[in-house]
Amino acid sequence: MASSKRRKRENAESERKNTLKEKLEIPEMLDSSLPHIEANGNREIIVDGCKGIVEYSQSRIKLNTGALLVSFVGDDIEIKNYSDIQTVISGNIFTIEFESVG
Amino acid sequence: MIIIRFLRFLKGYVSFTASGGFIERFVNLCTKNRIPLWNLKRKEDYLEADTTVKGYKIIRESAKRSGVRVSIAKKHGLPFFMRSYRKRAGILAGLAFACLLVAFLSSMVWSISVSGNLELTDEEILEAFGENGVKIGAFKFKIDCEDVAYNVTRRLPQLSFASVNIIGSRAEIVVNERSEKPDFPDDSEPCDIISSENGTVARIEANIGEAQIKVGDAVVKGDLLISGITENADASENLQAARGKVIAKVKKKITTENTDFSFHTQKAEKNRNLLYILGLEIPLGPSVGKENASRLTQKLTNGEIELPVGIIKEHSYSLSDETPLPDKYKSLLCAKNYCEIYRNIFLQSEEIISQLVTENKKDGFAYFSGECLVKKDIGIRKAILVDIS
Repeated sequence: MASSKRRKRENAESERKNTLKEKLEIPEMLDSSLPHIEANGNREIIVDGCKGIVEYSQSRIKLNTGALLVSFVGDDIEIKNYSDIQTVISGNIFTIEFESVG
Repeated sequence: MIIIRFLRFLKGYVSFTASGGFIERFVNLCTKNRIPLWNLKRKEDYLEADTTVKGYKIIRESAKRSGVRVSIAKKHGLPFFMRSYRKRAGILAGLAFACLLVAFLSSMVWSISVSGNLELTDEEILEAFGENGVKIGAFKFKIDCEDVAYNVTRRLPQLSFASVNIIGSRAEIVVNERSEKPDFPDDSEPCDIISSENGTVARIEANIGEAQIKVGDAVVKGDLLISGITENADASENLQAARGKVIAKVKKKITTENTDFSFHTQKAEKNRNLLYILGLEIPLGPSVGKENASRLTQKLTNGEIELPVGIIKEHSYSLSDETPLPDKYKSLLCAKNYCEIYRNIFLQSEEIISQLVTENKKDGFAYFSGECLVKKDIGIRKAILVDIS
């Protein structure tokens, strides 16, 4: 019961924030809850604000970026550099998938 | 990226493999514990990655919590390289000595270039700069470029400008020679212009004074051509320095009969090479003596910069007694002399109108004589002597 109330409160707060953002026309780039992803062709992708690795195999890397789970699917993909500030993924990337958390 | 790689090399880093357990959890825990990871490569059942030496020392905790086994694959960087050679102190000492030697030698001048000189030779300029401390092997910090340039311009009055720039171990000397003041005729003394040769007047350009001849007149040596005494309207006279040109057709004779010529031949030659390294000259053979000696320095160069390493070639020879020129070469000598005389006439003339060359025979060899008709300025200045008593 209590958790349902809290969720409702959070949703309402989130909606209020979104409405305010739309009214003020604040660029999405300034939204800290969304990850900043930069791609150099399909060879290198830089992800800012990575919160952790969810899945790591030779053909798929799934990163937790807070509001989104981002998956990179490709051949021989590897993590050139990994830190919570910036993660650099390189290889032959075919697909980028986004999943909302919650 | 290269700088980051270089810094990693300097600090040293470790390549390791992590197998078993939960690899993703292991990576997340490493990040949480501030262990930097890079070059992560996922293989079938293990992970390859690099981390710092400090990071690897605290990686055990993350590995334990995620059930991963870590093992070192390879150690990279300067600290590991130095450790493998720690028992070979001689190498380190040699490296340190080499660094010190390079630093010491870098504080000296090892190459000097000279530019901008036309009349003065490189040797004369290098000698003047050498007296002021700019020479091979001199310490750079002892050279005061401004003082040296000032002293050299005083030592060599032919120079209007001199400078020395020290670039690395190279001294660049740049000079500019003073151009001579042209000789202007002295107009303070009154003078006439008289004929220096016999000829026929072809053109008169009397700038100051009165011409005493006309085009087509024949003049002999000493005749007055342009007078410095001019008459005014009131019959009084002015004395001034006459100035002008009198171009006349003049006949010039060329004879090359005299071929009494003797010469010396080289009797014995001596050669020696010297090795030149950083101003030191190491002889590679016995001395060649000082009689008619010459030396040629060949330094290693890339076309612009000379290195202080090279070879000096010394050469000397002795001369035989005087030998008269054999008859078979006398004709050649005559031809050479004729050409030299003709060249001088050509340079002194305004125009060569015609020439006639005759080949003569004497004592079994041919010699040449000729006659040229040229146009040239025959006027010379002659002072007007004025009695003021």
